[in-house]
Amino acid sequence: MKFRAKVIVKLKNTVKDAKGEAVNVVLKRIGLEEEANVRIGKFFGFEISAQNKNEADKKLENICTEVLVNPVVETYEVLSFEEAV
Amino acid sequence: MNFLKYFKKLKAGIIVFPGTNCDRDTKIALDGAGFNTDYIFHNCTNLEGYDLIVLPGGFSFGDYIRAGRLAKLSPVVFALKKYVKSKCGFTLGICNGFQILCEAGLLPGALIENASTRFISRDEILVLEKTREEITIPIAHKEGCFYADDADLRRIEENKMVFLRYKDNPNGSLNDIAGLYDSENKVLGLMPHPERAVSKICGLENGLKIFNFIKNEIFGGKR
Repeated sequence: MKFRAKVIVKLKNTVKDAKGEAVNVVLKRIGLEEEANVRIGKFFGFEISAQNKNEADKKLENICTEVLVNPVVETYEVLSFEEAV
Repeated sequence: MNFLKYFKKLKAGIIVFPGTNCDRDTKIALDGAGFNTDYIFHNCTNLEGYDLIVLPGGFSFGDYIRAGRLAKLSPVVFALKKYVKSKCGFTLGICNGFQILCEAGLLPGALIENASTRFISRDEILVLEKTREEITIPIAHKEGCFYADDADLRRIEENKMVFLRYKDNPNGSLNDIAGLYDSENKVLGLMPHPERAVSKICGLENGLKIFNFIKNEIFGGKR
C-alpha cells in the first residue's frame, strides 16, 4: 500500500521566528494587518510504502522525528495522511 | 607514555560533506598549526587513529531542511558519535560544523536564523570565557543564533561549557554564546571562523590562538 503524507514543520512558539517578524512588519506597513503574528513553517509532501496503516503511521513518525524536525526548536503537524489512489 | 605525543605530529581529520566549502582553509590552518591532516569523505565509517576531527564550515547537503540536518544522518557522523563516546580524541565543529554537532545531539541547543534575518560576514570581537581575553575573528553565517531551552541553558552555564562569547552580540544568540563545549570538554563548536584568521594575508592571525588552544586540549590541558 502507498500512503501520501502532508506535514508542516514550524518553530516552537517559545522560539523567536525572525522571518515571521519581518513579515509582520511589512503587513503592518502596508496596512493589511496590524498584529498578524506570522509564524513561518516548512511544508513537506511525501509518499510512504507499507503493508498496512499501522506500519505507515510508525514510518511517518520516524521520518518526522529523525529527519524533518529538531525537537529543540521545532514541532510538526501532520496535515493529512491518506492512502494514495 | 602520553608524553610521546609531544614529539610526534598530531593527526587531524577534516570531514568533507557535499557542499562543505571551508575544508581547504581549515587544512591550511591546521597544517600551519603543526597537524598532519587528511580529508575524510562523508561516507567514511571509521575515525580511529585521529587525535582531532574537524567539521569545517560550508553548506553541507545544501543545508536542505535545516542547516546540518542531512549531514547529521551521514555515515561519518554515526562514526563520529562512536569516536566521541569512546573518547578517542577531540572534535571541533566550525560554523556549519557547529550546526551539525548540535543537530546530531553532540552539543546541546540549536542554531537558528539570525535575529536580523541577514547573512552576517565581518570581523567580530569575542571574549574567551576562561581568560576573559578579547579576540577578533571573522564570522560568516545566517543561522548562527544559539538557542537552548531554560534547562539546557542553566546546565551550560553551571557546567561552564561556554568557550567563547560575543562582545557585541550580532545575531541574537542566548547568553551571547559563540562557542560551546560538550559536558566532557571533548567536543567544541564555534560559530566564528578561526581558519580565516591564520596569516597576515588573511588580515588577522588570531585564529592561530584557537588552534594552539585545541592542541593543548588534546594534550589534556585543563581549562
